[in-house]
Amino acid sequence: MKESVFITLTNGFKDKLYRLAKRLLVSTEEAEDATQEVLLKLWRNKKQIGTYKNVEAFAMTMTKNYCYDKLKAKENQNLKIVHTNYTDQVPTLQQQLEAKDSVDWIEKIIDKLPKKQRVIVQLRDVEQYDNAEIAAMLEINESAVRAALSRARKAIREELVKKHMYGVS
Amino acid sequence: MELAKIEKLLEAYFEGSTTVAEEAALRTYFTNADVPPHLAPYKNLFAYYEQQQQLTSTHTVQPPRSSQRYLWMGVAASIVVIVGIFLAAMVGTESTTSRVVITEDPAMGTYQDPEEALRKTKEVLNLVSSYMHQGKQDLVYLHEFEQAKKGLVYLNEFENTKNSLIK
Repeated sequence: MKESVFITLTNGFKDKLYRLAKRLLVSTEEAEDATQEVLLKLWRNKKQIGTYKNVEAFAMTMTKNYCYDKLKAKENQNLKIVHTNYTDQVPTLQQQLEAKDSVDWIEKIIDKLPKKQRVIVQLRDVEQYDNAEIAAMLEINESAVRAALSRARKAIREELVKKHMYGVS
Repeated sequence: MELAKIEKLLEAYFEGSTTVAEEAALRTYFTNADVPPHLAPYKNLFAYYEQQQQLTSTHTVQPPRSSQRYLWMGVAASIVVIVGIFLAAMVGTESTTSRVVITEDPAMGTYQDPEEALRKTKEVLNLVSSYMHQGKQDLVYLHEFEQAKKGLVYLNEFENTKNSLIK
């Protein structure tokens, strides 16, 4: 496989890998590293790419596994690393405040979910894969995906409503 | 889309029983339309998902250059080395074979004819022996030495006396 072919192939889902990694690892840098690592692994095994049924799904599974490993390694360390994304992605103070109020809040809620639910929310609500695809990627069955999805969405709703009703009731 | 339908969809959404298409409809509703106050909290949720979709990795991943080029360079270099050794060996064997052509039998040296070889050998041996004879002529003076030694027989008398003294 030629380099250019590989790049065009992976560019189709590179950002999805990155977003999944970011959902799990939180840190931008670590997510970039994970994406790079997964793509390099794919490149090294490029001879087998033809044998995969779905390269994108395969890459997503690889990313998930990589991030799980990373998280496990982090849990094993005594020192918890707190990530700070130093790059200021929100330019104005006004926008920053707005973001704090709405979108960042949701991110915080999702980050509090168990990692499996986080992955499923990411794959379903952000990347819009259907349950069958998610089940294949996560190597679990579809009903488990649905159950976890429902649980995650309800947990998010609960937090959202709590926030919305803050000071009201 | 009417509100009742949206509420129903939303309920299904939280049960995890909506299809991807239905969720897309919910998403467009919450991001575009005016949302009634009781559904306002979900507006942010869908806006967040929408925003997350735009997130892109800033790094470009460049597959590492394959080492195949270096592999071929190695192959080329080893071929050069092998050919070099082969050529050197060829040149070496050529020079030795040219010598072998002149002297087929090493016992005859550089001569082709055995008779001539014998004659020449005899000449050389004679030459050597003549030089040896010349050297030997100078050794006649050794006779003088021999004669002088004969004069020393009287020393025996001295020896005899010495022996009797010891007794």
